[in-house]
Amino acid sequence: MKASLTNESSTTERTRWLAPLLLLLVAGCPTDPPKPAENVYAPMGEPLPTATVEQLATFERGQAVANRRFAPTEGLGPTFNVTACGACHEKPVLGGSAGHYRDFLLVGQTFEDGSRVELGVNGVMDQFSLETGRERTPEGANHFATRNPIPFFGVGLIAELSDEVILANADPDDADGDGISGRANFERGFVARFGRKSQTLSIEGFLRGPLFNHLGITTDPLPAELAAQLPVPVEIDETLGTGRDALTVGRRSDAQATIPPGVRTTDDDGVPDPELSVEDLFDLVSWAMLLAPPEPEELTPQTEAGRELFRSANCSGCHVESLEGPRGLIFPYSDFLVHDMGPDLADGIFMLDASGDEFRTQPLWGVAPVGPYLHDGRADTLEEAILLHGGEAQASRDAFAALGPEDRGRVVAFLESLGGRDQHSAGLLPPGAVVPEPGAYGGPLRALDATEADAYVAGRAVFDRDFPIHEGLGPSFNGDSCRACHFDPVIGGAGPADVDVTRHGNDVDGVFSLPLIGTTMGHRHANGSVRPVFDDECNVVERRQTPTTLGLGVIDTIPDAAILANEDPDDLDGDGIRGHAHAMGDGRIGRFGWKGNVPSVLEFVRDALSNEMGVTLPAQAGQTFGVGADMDDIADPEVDVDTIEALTFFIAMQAPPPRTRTDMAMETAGETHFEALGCATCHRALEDAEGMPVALYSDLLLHDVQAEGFLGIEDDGAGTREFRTPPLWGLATSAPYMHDGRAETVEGAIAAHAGEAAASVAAYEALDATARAELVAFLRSL
Amino acid sequence: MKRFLPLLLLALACPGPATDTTWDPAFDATSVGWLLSTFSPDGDVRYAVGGTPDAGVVYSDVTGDWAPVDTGLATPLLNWVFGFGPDDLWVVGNAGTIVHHDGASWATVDSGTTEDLWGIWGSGPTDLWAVGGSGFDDAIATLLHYDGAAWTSMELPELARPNVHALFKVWGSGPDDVFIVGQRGTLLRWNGSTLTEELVGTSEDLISVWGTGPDRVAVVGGRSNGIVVTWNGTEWHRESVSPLPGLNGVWMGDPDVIHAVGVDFVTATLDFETLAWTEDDITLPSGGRKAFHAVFGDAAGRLTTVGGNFASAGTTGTYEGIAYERELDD
Repeated sequence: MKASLTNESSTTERTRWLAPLLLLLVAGCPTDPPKPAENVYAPMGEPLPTATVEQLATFERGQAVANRRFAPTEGLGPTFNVTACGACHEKPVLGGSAGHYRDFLLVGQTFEDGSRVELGVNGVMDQFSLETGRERTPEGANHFATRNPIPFFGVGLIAELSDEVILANADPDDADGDGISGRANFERGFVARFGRKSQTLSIEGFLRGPLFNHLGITTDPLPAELAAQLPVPVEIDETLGTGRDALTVGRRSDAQATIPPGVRTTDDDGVPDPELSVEDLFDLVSWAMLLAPPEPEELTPQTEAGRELFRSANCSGCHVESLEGPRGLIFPYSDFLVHDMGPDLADGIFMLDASGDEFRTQPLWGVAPVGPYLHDGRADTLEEAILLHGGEAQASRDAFAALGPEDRGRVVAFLESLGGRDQHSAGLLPPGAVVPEPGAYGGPLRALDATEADAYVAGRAVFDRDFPIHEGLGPSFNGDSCRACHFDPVIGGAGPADVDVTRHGNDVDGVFSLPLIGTTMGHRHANGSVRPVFDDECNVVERRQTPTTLGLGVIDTIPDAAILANEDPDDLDGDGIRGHAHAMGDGRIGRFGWKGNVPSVLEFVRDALSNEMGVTLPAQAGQTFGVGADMDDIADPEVDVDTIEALTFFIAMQAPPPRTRTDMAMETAGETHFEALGCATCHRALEDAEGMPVALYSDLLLHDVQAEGFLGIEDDGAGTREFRTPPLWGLATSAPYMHDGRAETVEGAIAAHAGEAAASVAAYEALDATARAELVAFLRSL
Repeated sequence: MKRFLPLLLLALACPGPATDTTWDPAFDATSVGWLLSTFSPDGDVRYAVGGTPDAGVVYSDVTGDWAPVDTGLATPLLNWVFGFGPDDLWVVGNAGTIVHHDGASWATVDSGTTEDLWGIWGSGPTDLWAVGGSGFDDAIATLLHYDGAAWTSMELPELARPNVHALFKVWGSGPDDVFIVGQRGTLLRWNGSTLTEELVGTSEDLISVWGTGPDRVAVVGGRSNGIVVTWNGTEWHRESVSPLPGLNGVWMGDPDVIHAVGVDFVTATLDFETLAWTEDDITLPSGGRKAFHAVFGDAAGRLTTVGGNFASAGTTGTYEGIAYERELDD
């Protein structure tokens, strides 16, 4: 039988653990204080040292699932924010957080009674739509809230904590008068502990929900027999334990298997559900549960002083230093309760019992390398994060603010000592990342002298560095670094579908007009939870894949004359191909970008900094791209010429994607087909200023290869249907293909050609399977 | 009712032993499918309805023991039962199913809809309401009215709340005071001539409603944590009653006492004014997690609750029911 529990007795329940303790003290029986858990730390991204051989195997498989990029034919969509789990959990390594460019929006409709209905996909505003390019804001939406991805390190140890251990720190009515009144957020009767509002109890649920909401990937719950084998096992308690009054681990783990009822987890994208197998889901959940927290550093005089200041300011009132789990004491520096953080941080989002101004105490183990901080990433540094605390933390915040710079530094140093500092990166490049050999992926195009090598490393660091809001990121932006979009397969490379740029405009009877806000839409907003402006009147929305920047410097050396030599706008030779250069109004010839609208690497840098990152630039002689002023509060220009030049040098000096030959015979045969089919008419080599061939496989001209009825964006000299012939070097590492990523494979990309390429496509389709395979082998070798 | 009258008189006359408020199994319902609703029109015979998605069942204790009733009908899952006497019982179910029992036979009645119907209540034999809608994107929140002759679809007002595709339950204190609850915090009131949407401070699903009068109405819901909303004749009051999980069923006999049941065997008693709650004692069964879906107190002083393995049936393919009872102590 299950004994009664009341809401009036539940406070007593929460503190009943004190009773035996007091008894022991009174009786004078010494007991060993709980000891720190052993073998629980590892570098971020690595498994718990206690993982068994079997668990290590599932950890590796789960890691692969977390990194797996889903394509539409594998279930991605119909709407999505990202294509892989790892897209949002990558900093400093897989399993972590992400920069501002992975911020996402919650969306809903709030009513006059204060209630709020979730809109979008279970409350998530997806950016991309496979059908319409940009997912439209749901009708009635009047409330957005920004979220920055949350790290997973140590979640298995957190899952092991009993409800009672968490409830022991609850003080919902502030009975002790310290101004801190944290309370648990319950889910189905158990203490939830994951998410910005402690709104989730189950790691499985914490993965299945985002898989569906952000990727459109459907899953079935783990069957009981598999769930029982998880690293934090879901024990199916046949008697259902002793009930809610006991709040036992057995009961809690029983509920961990599921996500809350009523949450939609099926879609209608034409791919059979579930789109992720239960075996893959098991591996993914196991991987997350096994991710170890980083080991805190030994205290130094500086960090010990910082810890004392941390304590004296009562930061530890919420960031509770240790909690006792089944392995002993763990040190997450969180009580996992929700607290009122004041009106400035309030987001108006209700999650279970957590109100609009309540947030979970964020764990601080491994905090150093997982910024930006706070639920919406508004703080780029730990000091900013502390100073933005309010509500129940106001007194602690004020105590910190009253410290001198040195003491503040000690507090921050202490926080940084809580593990992971050695993995901190200004972007995603690990500390001390080696520059690959000349000519290799990520390496320079030639051997560099010492000065050039330093400049290459410095430029790469700028390319990789997450650009903070307080330095001018935004107000709207797509990436918070160059690397945010260009990282496939190495920094500087291409980007997957989830970093697409989106353009929009109006096409009325073939006449294109620009929206007043320009064709480029930022996906994210740096200041406040709003969706960047979109002109709802626009009838053309175009996603643009991120092309590689590898080899741009080589392309930059190709003389205009070499490009113009292949023009044939009136098809005088009668081959059906009418390429023309993108002639800019000032006489320059464009050569970069899907519309061939950018004339040089320097202009490319200026264009991307302003249009994709929202960064304002100083004027440079002869340069016309980029903007000098924006609407944020940061003084313009937000970067200096040195930054621009550092980026320009790095990009210009990157080697083109190296050719990787694996089957010479097949590839040679494929090249023959490539030329015979007429592909090489557009996808050709050009000569540089020295007359040396540049095997970029592009004429850098604009062509119409679109199907009948296509509506696109006009860009000065490039018509709505025209796109620059994309270089094919590095093709194998730059999927998906075509300007909007409509083709997942090389074969699909060939078939997606039309217009001027129709004859080549028809010839390709006439090839037998062997010849097609040879052609693809050749293309993939480039 | 008659067979319990001496007991009731005895109970009133003598202090007697304390009421046993521990919930115990009413019968082994493991193999009958889900049980979704229980009702007794007179305190004599109790009914319970449910089944599987493809086959509805009606159970009753008319013989003294709970046993299936041969309705002679093939219906999908049956979701709710209500009536005015043993010869005027109504049952609603999936795919627009409405069944009437006249005391002698059971017959399906044209509902005019194919939407799943979740709830039915009426102030009298010529004034019944039925509500439904599957809750999914392509479903229509459905409200039907019966005037003694036929069921007709009622037009809903334009709802402020978006994406409402289901109404779950209906109850009223009279023909001019009807409360309808549904998905995403939806609450509608009928004053005899007009349906009006009211915002009651939550967007959680409101799953069931019951009351004792125009100033004593309790609504329960919540899919994760339990939500209770009360109407005292003047204003709505909304409260989360966590750590109690989601609540599915509610019944009131005493105007100051709310009986609520829900997820993970929750059976709770709440004070109407303060919403202070006590989770009732219950003898838990084996066989995994189940939820109660409905609770009803009858004139014989029995409180009955029914439910099933709603969360796990989809993956296990088995539909198991539960039926519990205890004495009323209101």
